[in-house]
Amino acid sequence: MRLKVATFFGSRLNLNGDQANLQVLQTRARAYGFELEVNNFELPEGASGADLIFIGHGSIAAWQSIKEEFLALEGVLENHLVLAIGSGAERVAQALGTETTRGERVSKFVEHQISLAGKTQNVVGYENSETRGIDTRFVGKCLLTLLHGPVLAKNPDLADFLLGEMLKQKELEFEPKPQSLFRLDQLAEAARSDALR
Amino acid sequence: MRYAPALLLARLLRWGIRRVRTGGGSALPGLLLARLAPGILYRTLGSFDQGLIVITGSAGKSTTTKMLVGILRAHGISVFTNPSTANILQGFYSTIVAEASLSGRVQGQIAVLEMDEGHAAELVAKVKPRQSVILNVVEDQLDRFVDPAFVAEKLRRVAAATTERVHLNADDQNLVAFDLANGPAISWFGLVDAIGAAGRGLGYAPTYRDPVERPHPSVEVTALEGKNAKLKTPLGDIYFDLPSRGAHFAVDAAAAVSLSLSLLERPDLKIIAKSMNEIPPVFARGEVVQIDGQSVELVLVQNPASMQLNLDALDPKLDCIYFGIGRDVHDPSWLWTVELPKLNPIAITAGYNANEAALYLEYNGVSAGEIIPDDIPLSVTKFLELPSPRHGVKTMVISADVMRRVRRHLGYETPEAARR
Repeated sequence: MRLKVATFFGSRLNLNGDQANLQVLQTRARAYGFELEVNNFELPEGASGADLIFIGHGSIAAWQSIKEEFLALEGVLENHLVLAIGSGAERVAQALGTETTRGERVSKFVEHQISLAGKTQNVVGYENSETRGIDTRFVGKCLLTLLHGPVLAKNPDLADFLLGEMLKQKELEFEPKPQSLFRLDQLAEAARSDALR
Repeated sequence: MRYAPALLLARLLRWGIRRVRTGGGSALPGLLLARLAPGILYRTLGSFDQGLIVITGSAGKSTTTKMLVGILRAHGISVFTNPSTANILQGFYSTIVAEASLSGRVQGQIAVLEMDEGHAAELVAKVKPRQSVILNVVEDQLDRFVDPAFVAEKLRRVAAATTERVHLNADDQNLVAFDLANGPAISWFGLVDAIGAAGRGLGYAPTYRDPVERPHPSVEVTALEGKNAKLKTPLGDIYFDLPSRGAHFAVDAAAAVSLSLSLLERPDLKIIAKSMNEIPPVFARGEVVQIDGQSVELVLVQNPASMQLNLDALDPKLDCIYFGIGRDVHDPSWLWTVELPKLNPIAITAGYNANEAALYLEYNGVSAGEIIPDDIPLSVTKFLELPSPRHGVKTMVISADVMRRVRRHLGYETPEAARR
């Protein structure tokens, strides 16, 4: 079984190690017994057939350089499962018409709450943003989070939820969590607790 | 003498702290002086006959500063400089506590200061540097600076405030694009293409714009083999050994030489080469120390670029590695931008961010070994107790905070002392 992730300008939208989230998904997918293929794309056609579109966090210069390509992508976002991080989440929120406001900059580890399959989950990560009104939330099928960097590494439940959603699109289900992920998940728990010291 | 009471109080505090903690006691007295007499800093820095020289940029400040200070002193000039651990405003106050007379003056004909890129712009608004060097913009400390574009703008302000001449890196497009109309004269330094393009490059923040034509550097590294560097200068070619291997050290050397040629009345290339050859390895970048009869290599990682360069340079066969990421890394996300080369299992992962560092290692397929988050002395003791490696020497890959704690634990009196 092979899942496909399309990452939008992966080398440019990786300011805080955001593309590592795909490494996390790949490692976990492999542990659950299937492959996850990651392809970079620049034009909307590149995302066709993808089970998940990933949009990372980029510098001002990076976004400036891909302004037109992002405009072209906006139309296809609504129909896909999307994970957008940091400035990527801000841009997707704007494209989807989500209302946001601006406040004083937050630059620290924070905890957000999100409802996943009816259960409230805490998501821990580093936020460095002035945007209010996004935190970590779903807008349609798009998961937006202002927690940049490897947010899925510290939040394996969120990573597994995304893998589950990708499988659901193919009418497949998860196997129980394999032993090989226990060490990683223990480290994630310790890192989450450290982050909120 | 209006600053004398504040200075005396701060000095008394420093003396008291040093009585109870060897090697400590510089931060708090500096803070006290900054509170009591903020103006002393600008008076001190504005009081040098040959002015203030500022060295700033994201990476390479310490090395460049040491090189320039060495060259100037070798030409008989008396130089006041700051330790690399004191390159923010509070650090300057600490240096004044330690070195100023009661009138707020410190000895030296010229001040050569390494300045944090965030603090430099604030300081030059009050004391204008005579000359400055801007080394580069890299994606570093984004928890503070948010975006490389903001760093570039701060550095541009330093360049614009410089009265006589600014020395800029011709290979960093962020700097080539500076708008310095009506500003100081510009000298460019750089590294010839063939060297700069090697490996992963020098890690300057990409501008993602069409490249601006590279200016012609007056001082340029034209050959580099191991530590041997050759520089082309307007006075002729010059050959010397760098303090450590690495193209970024060669760029630092070009910056220091460019500045020195502009500052010295009668620069002597032989003296410059001799002085460069005598620069000791910089603050534990690849420094091998003897600890309790064992050789241990200390590798400092401070930002994505330096971590990538240093990890790439590690021998993949090393089998006794300590990985320590401390409190200085406020947002450890950047670790994940570094492509981890193939390494043997790590023996000990330590420091304030040990668990996040371990996650990074293990998601990259490298075992993090024993994880010791908050007890550096214990982690170092355990590391030293491990059997000798089968290959190479024991190696500690550590951030600046872990470096300081390790060195303090081992009995080094100051963070930069070479001997205990």
